[in-house]
Amino acid sequence: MKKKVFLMSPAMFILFAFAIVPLFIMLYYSFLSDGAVAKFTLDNYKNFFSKGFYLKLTWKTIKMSIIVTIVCVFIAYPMAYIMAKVINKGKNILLLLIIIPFWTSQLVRAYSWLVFLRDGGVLAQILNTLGLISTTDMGILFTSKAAIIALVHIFFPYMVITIYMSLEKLDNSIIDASKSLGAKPIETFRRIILPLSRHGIITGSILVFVPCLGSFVEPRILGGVNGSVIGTVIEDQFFEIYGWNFGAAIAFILLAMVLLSMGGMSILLNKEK
Amino acid sequence: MAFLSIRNLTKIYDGVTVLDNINLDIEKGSFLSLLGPSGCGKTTTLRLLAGFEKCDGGTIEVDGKIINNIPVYNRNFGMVFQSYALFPHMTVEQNIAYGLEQRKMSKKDIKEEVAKAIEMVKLTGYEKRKPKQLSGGQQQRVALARALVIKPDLLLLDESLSALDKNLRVEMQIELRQIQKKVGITTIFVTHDQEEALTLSDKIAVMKMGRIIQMGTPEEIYETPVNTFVASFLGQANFFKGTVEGKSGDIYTLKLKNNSIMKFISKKDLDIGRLISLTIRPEKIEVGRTETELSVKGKVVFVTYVGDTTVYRIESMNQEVLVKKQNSGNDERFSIGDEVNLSWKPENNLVLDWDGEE
Amino acid sequence: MLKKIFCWLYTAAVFTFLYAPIIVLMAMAFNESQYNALPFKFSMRWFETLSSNTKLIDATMNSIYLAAITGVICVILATALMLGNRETSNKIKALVNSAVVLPLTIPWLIMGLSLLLLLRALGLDRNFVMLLIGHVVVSLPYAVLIISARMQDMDKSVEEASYSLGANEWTTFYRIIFPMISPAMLAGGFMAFMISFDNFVLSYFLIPTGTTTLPIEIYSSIKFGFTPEINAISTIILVLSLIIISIIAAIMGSSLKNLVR
Repeated sequence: MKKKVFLMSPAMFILFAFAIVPLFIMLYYSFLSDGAVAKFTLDNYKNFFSKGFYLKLTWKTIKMSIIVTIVCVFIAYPMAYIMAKVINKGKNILLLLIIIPFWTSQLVRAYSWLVFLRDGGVLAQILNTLGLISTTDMGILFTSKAAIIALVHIFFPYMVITIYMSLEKLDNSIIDASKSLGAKPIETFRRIILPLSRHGIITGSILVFVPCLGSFVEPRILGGVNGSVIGTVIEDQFFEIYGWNFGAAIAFILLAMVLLSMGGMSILLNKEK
Repeated sequence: MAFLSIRNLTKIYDGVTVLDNINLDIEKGSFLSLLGPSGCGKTTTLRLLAGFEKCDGGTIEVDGKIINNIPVYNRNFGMVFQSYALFPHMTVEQNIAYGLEQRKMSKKDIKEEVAKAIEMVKLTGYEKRKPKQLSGGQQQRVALARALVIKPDLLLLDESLSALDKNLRVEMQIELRQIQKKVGITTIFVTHDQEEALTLSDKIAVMKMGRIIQMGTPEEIYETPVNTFVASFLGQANFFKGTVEGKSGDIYTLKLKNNSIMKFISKKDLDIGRLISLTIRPEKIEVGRTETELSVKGKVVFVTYVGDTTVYRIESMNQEVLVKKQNSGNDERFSIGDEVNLSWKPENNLVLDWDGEE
Repeated sequence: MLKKIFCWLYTAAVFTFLYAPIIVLMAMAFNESQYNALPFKFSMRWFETLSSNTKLIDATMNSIYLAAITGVICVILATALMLGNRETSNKIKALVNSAVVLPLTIPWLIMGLSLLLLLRALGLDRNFVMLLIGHVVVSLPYAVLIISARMQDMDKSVEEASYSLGANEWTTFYRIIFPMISPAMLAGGFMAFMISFDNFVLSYFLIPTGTTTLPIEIYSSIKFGFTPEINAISTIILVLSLIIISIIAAIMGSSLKNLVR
């Protein structure tokens, strides 16, 4: 008994003291005003909700995250399906190849998109040479489209893996049974395969949507001025404007959004049990 | 005095009493099987004996000493696990040597003992192999050697043969018993397989829901079970359940649930009105064409040929009666639809209590 | 037949999307042009400039140093946690599992700034210790996941067999348990190392003034206009990551084979 406590307490202490407690401290600071003398105030929150700028930004962030998630689902599902049901050999290799980009540095990947999508950059030059665009200006970089592309690039492997895992678990004989009962492929997909892979889709969506809400590196690097999202605003509060308390408030609102979406998705997950 | 004495052993998990005042005595050198369905507490008993869990009540005494508070590693019991639990990163030799190393034997002595143990389980030549390179039967033997080489006071086996296929299993049963007799070690064997228990044991303790229902030699348990549970757990049995209606000398009249009447002989003194289950083993029933004084009529409903025996299902007294006959070549064979008479010797009557339920 | 063609095309398209930017980046590292312009002319000049860029090299060393310490701490904490967790009740197990997964679900942005606020609440400046703690907190779940996966596969009766043969807790740990989980510990350590090495967000918030790590340097360079040395160092990081992943995969793969009959 004593042994257990001794072994487990260092890790639990660190997690509690440095992951959970700081969140409460953040909450505390969000109720203080910035400036020379800090006093208790609700202004930080009032500011956020009254200024249309912040609300629009929140909506923009949510919209972006939703788009990324949906695009990921559509790109990842066929890939996962191919890996799980169509291919017999080489599943593990494909899985490994999908996972490898995970472990390349986030910055390096964002930077590589910068290089790739730049006006006059490699992609532009290739497309121009092929005659597909008229100039070497692509006009993609420094728009939110670029940020979306980069985010999809980062996150869709998560989606592939979760959908793959739930498709793998799907017993092939169920699909065969559906076919033998006369269902056309689309029917089998719609009524059997899709519902049974629901779990993977929802889990993947959580893994994509939540980090997107909190992202700021890719929006900043690739979106430039147009790439403002909640994450970049918070970053500014801490590094440019030094309004830490206001930043704490925004961060707390972001945290609330994260928790809400996770809660919502868990409910979806547990609904049909 | 018994070598191993268990008194009022109790264990409670999450508010559920898993072992309820278990009492056991085991003589030195004997082989005891703990037999019962899943959940009866047999493995729990073994684990309490080994020291992996603490008792909630009762004492365990080995060779005169109470061992309740001695930690596992000081009890000197050899244990063979269901999954064998061989150390995967060690060779056969190293696995077997491990227990001796804990006892601080000299390297030379260890080498000698290990070699002897390997020879005893017939694995000479396999010393340097790793567990994953061994078959199930071979792993079993390594596990046994590892447990025996430390010269333990008790040998504990937890369903250790259940992972083997039938023929290998029978072979291992024989080997296990031979080794056990040769070394003379007191052994406790947990199993749910009644055939295994009957084959291997000096004594069997039949358990159900945390209690020992009956303990005795295989013959005692099989021929004179104390209740219908034990009777049906070991081997098969036909139960004629009903009320004692009348008595005339040694001959009793039994009125069955379904109102059929049958007569039977018993030396016991039974009260009129008592609820009993008249129990007969299938192999004790004789099937013939001619009626006798106490025979019951029946009709053959199903016949199964099992090579060395023939199993008949016979509709009689409004229930199905199971009869097993040896195919010795001498007796008549019956077919479906035949009208037959069933009879048996009075000494094969088992009169057991019936609680009135199904 | 048509189905097969479609599948191959789709897979090829997906992998092109996945790898094209990275490959282009690596190619540009070897390209003479300062502006990443085609046509491609092979040159190692950016690697040469890199070798004399002391700032970048220092930053890399800092990253390695920090990641190594993080890795070691994470392995020790994760192993101890998982060892203790095996013998707890199911309720506590569930609690521990949620607690460990928590840092994975909270955006690192929030984790970083909340630790910064913790510093402020304690009246402290940014320092190395808090930076290290931040790295440990976000890397720990990964190490735990790897090690716990291995431990779950481990047959508990092997441990009990060791006890029954006379070995006490310590002997059982270093002769039986440790050899069996050491591949997972190593893999977990490497994983924590990589997470920490690549970690930009936490470092960005918590790095003491005057020091820097590699991801932070890359970020500044990007913000202020890049130099092609970034391509070169990125290529090196990519290759190193690949090597480390292969090591992890090899360790986990072979250890699985060793123990599954």
